[in-house]
Amino acid sequence: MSATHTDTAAAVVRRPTGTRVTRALGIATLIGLGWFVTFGLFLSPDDAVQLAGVRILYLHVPSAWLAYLAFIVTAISSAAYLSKRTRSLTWDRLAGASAEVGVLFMGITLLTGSLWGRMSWGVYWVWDSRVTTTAFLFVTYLGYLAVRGLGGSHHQRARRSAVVALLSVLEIPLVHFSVEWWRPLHQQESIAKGKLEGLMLFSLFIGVVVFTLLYVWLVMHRQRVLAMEDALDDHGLEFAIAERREEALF
Amino acid sequence: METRFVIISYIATFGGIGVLVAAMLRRARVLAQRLPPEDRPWT
Repeated sequence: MSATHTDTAAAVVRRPTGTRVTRALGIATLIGLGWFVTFGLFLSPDDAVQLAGVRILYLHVPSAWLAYLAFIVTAISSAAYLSKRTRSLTWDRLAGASAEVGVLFMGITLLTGSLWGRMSWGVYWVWDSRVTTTAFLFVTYLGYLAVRGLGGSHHQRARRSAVVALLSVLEIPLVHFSVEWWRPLHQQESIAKGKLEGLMLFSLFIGVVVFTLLYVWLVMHRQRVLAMEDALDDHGLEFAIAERREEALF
Repeated sequence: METRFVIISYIATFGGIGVLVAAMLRRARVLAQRLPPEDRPWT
């Protein structure tokens, strides 16, 4: 084996899910994160009412948007799997990867919201409509991931989790419009109503862009890990069948 | 008090993401060592 071939094989194991695209995306994400932290923590001014607490919103709002996006991608991928014309386990793995990353962002939303609530309301948690529906959405997608972990073939997993994903996504409008429908303690939309401007709005914008890049990078890698897990399952079955055949022969 | 909560938020967020990324890449390396190259068509 030549030295070049050995180096390439070693690089593959070192970066088994990496490609030129993911590396470029990863570098862009890291640079963006640097910008985001610089603007979010140092360059943007304090808010007149919330003081430095407004800086938590630069994490909280983008992570909530990204969680919505991730769950919508999960639903679209699940629908693509269920459609006979586009049925492929690649869609199922994309759905699973997106849901996992969505759960991460939803967890960040709840955590940062809780810390922001402690500063603004004096308590970490209130059972108002936005907070409660968000927690419900988080638990629903934890359930979705649990359903994906149940036994059966890859296609059985894909079919049942696709149905759960298509039902779960219906909660998103409930969460989003809860601040309009039930007048909760949670504030209403700040951006659409022009309450943020200048460097504050720019910091939030950077947060959305960077979290979106991070989401794409995470999903690409995670989907490839899921593909390798499925392949290992398949090989495991092949090995077991081969062993049984050998036992039957002797 | 605000500064303390802001710092906790940023550390928890990026720490959580970092832990997830590290676990994911480690899992990927373990799987790649057990699978033939044809099971990684993207490489």
